[in-house]
Amino acid sequence: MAKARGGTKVQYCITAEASQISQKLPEIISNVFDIDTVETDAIESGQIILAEVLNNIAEHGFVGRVPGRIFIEATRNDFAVRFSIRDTGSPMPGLKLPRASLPATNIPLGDLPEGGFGWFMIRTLAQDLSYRRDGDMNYLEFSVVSSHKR
Amino acid sequence: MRLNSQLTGDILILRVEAERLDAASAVYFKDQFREAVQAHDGRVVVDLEPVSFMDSSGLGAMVAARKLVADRELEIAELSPIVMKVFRLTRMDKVFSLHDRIEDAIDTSSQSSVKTA
Repeated sequence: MAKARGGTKVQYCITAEASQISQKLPEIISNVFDIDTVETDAIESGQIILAEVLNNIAEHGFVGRVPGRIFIEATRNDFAVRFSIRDTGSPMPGLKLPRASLPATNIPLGDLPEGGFGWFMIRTLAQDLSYRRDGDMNYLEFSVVSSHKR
Repeated sequence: MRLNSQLTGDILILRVEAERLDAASAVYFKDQFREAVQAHDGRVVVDLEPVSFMDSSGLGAMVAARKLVADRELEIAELSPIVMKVFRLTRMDKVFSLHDRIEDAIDTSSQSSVKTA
């Protein structure tokens, strides 16, 4: 919950639940990105990626047990925001990030998937995405390039 | 999340009264949408004006809604920039009829089936 002093590093700890994520995300985004100087496009991408990453942990990380904590750290410099996300949920299947591809849109309506868009958006919008499992923790890192308004 | 329904002529307008259509609220949208369209076989327009943010769960709920009215178009109006971005990124803008304004959906009923390319 605490915002680190100095203004370049922001840290949050939230419960891995959809309602908590939904409630906290706007505050996190407005503390991580300087809305006066950073391009809106970068802030939108940041919010989409973070929502998908956190909800993925909430949905798959703690199946059948009490939702744990997610630790979010965002470090900002002039060009990008580097996010580091830690959680004690289950490891990623195969200890790697899911692949992501879009379904064709010219298929029968009934065959359209209602899920699977999340990882596609993460992979499309995030830079330098990496994942590792260390002990009982998942570590996910990515950057959002933040070009500035002129 | 609340879905307000209003019949304008033969168009059923469903206004999503929520700031965020996301993993926390998508399931409520699906349930209320199913109920709202049950007794209506005309056009359906979803008004997203109050919604500033949508994630993949919200998008999945829209796809589920699209399937429920499979014999018609599902029209969506008033997409915020971030919602539009989610539709474009996933190419789901090809699967729905998108309108800038709710008035566009109502007034230009002859153009309503023109898909946004």
